[in-house]
Amino acid sequence: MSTSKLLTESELSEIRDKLVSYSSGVGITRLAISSSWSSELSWARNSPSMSSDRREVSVVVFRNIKNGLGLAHINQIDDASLKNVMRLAEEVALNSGDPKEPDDHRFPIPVVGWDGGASTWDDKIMVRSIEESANLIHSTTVKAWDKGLMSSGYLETKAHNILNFATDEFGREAPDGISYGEMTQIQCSATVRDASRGGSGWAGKSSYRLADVSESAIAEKALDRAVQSINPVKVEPGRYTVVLEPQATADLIDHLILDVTIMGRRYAESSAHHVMGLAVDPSLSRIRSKMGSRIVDSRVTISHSIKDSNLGVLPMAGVRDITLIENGVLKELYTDRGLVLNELNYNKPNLERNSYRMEEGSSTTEEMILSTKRGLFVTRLSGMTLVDTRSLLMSGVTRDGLWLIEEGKIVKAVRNFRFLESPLYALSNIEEIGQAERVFHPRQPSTFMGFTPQMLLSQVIVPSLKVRDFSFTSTIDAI
Amino acid sequence: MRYKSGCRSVTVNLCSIRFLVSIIIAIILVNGLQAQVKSKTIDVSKYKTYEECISLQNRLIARERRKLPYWKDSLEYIRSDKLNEYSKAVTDTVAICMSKFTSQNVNLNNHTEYLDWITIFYDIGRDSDAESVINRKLSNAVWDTIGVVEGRHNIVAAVVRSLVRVRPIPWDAIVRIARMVDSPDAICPLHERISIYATMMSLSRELNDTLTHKYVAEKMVELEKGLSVEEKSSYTWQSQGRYTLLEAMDFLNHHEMLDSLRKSPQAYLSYRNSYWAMIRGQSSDKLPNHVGETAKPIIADFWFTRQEDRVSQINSLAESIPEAGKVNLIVFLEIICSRNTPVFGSSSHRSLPISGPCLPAYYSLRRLGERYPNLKLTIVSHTDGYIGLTEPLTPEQEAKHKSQWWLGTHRIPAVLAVAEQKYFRLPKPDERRIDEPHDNSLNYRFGNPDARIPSGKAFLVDVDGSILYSAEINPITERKFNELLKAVTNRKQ
Repeated sequence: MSTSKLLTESELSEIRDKLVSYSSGVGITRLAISSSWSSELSWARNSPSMSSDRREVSVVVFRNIKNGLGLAHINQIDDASLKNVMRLAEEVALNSGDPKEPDDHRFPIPVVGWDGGASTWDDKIMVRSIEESANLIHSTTVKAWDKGLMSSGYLETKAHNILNFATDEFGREAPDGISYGEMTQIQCSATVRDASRGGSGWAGKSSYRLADVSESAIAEKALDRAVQSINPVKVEPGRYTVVLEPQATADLIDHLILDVTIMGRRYAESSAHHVMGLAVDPSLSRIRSKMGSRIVDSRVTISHSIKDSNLGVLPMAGVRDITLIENGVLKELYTDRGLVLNELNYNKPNLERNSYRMEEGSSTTEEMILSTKRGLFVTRLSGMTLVDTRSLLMSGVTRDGLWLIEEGKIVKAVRNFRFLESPLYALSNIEEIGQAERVFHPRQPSTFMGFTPQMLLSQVIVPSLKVRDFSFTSTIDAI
Repeated sequence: MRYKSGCRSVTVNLCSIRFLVSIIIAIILVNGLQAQVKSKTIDVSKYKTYEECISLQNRLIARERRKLPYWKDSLEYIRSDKLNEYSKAVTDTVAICMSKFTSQNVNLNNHTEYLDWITIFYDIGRDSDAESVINRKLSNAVWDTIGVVEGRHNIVAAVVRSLVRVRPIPWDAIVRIARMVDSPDAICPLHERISIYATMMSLSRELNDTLTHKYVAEKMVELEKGLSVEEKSSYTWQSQGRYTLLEAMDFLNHHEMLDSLRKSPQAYLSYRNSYWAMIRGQSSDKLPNHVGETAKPIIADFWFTRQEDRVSQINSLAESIPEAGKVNLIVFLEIICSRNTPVFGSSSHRSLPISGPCLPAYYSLRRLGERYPNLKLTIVSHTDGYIGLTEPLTPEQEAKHKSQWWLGTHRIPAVLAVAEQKYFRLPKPDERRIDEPHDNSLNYRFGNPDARIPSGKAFLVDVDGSILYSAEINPITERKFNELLKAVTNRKQ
């Protein structure tokens, strides 16, 4: 990899060497040196509205001296700034302990190595110019203009690389103490609307590979959907069999994954009201989680592998393969180090991340429609609000294209619905599972301990689903 | 190098002097500027509201806290409010920030806002403004709360609770305001009155204000005399009031109590039971804090001693613990903090860092151990499989680390007894470790299965094996342990 948009691996190593030389030596040092680049293009009312190119570097220094802890970060990489950030981390470390205290006994602080991640990198993203993308999108916006429709959208390409470094308490390089990871990502979404005739189309995709995301195809698809959904008719709310496009599947189960993800096992076992909390065991005064229980249809498996190059994860301590749901059974939850040490007495946490893959089935979307006597074809879901935390019952709306299926055929566009449904119920009422594909998933990854700001990837691969008895409560005017 | 101001080679000495003087002047000027710059590094003019000034104060204090070595390893007792004092720089900066506000800016209609104002006014030394706010707030309220949202007693209790967080504690103001509930016209519900007395009791104990302590103790005795049977059976009295009264009686009968202890443990227990029987009334409750119970033997898998500055592991002790014929102090201790966390409890800068079984407890134990060489001091602990965020540890490793930490690093002259914690694991996939209660912990619950023994809980055991006092060890309770130990060790054989 060689591009001015990011620092190279050797440049990151050079910064690491300088920082190590500026440190006072004794005690544990952990460094996270990263660079990032992102380019954005957005358009609205058929015209470009914003274009950007941003580059950033980040140096995070963690020092542990005499049982004192110090953390400092900076986004300047000149020699004086690097000296300052190391000095600041060391000062904080020395001040956080009591300098008058004797220091003749230390508890063994574990040396943290970096668990390897799968780099997801595509050189083509780095050389794709914003002008090229703009030209591709322009051709579609012209068509939308010609048809009296309004198009808008957003395209972002970005890249990160990170070098992690750790020493033991004597300042020596720790075993597995160096790791390097890099990633690219492109995400694009487009919306085309006909406000007067109630038509709306949307399409979007994200990937680490340029070839997976065609800006013009996305814009064309949104345009087609908008034209097809013009003049929707009103149908009665109620329970319908639905065919959810992969994007709608992701919109629905994302909240389930989010709730499983956030705080993970610690949260599930600290609140009986948590969706994955089972009940309080009175004899133990402990809350049992649903781990080991079947929570959804036995065909559902959701997992993340750190070696899966289609999902990817940057190297960081405490990230391992995880199978959240296997054949419908809640298999594992994310765990932090404190929890595994205190409750389980071992030293292998499994930290949260935002990427996941849901195993695909054998049906195609066309086959699902063909086998549906009366139902609805859903493009995507939006505006979800949690109604009940215990069951994950949510209220939300369908958006950007909803069609009625009758006797195996899409017959007409219908007005959008408000739904009241839980992903747990929906995944328990699966009739067919379709082909999995990568979907648009712009959720901003969380920050972990200041070490990996915006570094976790957010790749989601899910299939289309045919679900029975999906509950729609009312029609809505929004398109 | 030649100096530019017209020096010639013949005037080298003079020139050098002028050069040096100019350097000194420059240094003085630069230092002066730096001092000014330092004092102006915080631009308080951008803070427009009193909330912003409070936030500024919190940030400044938190910044100072991080640099403060709290626990001086000395034999002298350090008051918590002294430990918590803010620097003049913080007070001055906040005072500048608050200079644009007067007591007239306070919205007295808000039930809580005035508390923030009086706290910060006292913090920055504007006592008159604080008192003005309190007086105005009180003058707008009446004692009788029928049909009134906020009665005068609510305000008195809230003000007392707020002022204990001010540093230095405005003790005179607290006493003056708290005493208002004793005025002839005052109408104050029992729970509020007990809460105020209990706060004053604990604070005056901590601040060594014996005069106020005596005043509150007498008020508690007076209060008890006027209580009806229903009031005595109320939850407030049963859960708090009667224990506050016991402390009051202990204080008022202080000399007699210690005299009885000097005589014998039986005399001590008998004397305390005489007024506890009056306080508890019809109930059969024993004296609180397990006083009078018989201490059970300590069981352990790993034993360590500290002799001649060396920590050594031994297979077993020749004598059982508590050792018969000796005064014993048995402390249940776990490592739940380290020197990285000098402030315990709440992370708020106003929390008192005096409690918690951490460094202050270690120093208290060491002081007691060194002051009373014949005291048999025993630390009782159990294994958890880890300490802090270490790697998982074997029981042997963990016991050894604990011995090094308490007996080595902190030089507590004690015997360490570490019991290997028995546990089982929940079936897969849960696999959580569930600890089984150890005999030591069961024995020292004294028949109450729901009781838990917090880390730092210390039991003072007399020569006959009866428990004289138990409390979480810290610099405040250390004084109580100290006076009891002094009485016991002065006992004529």
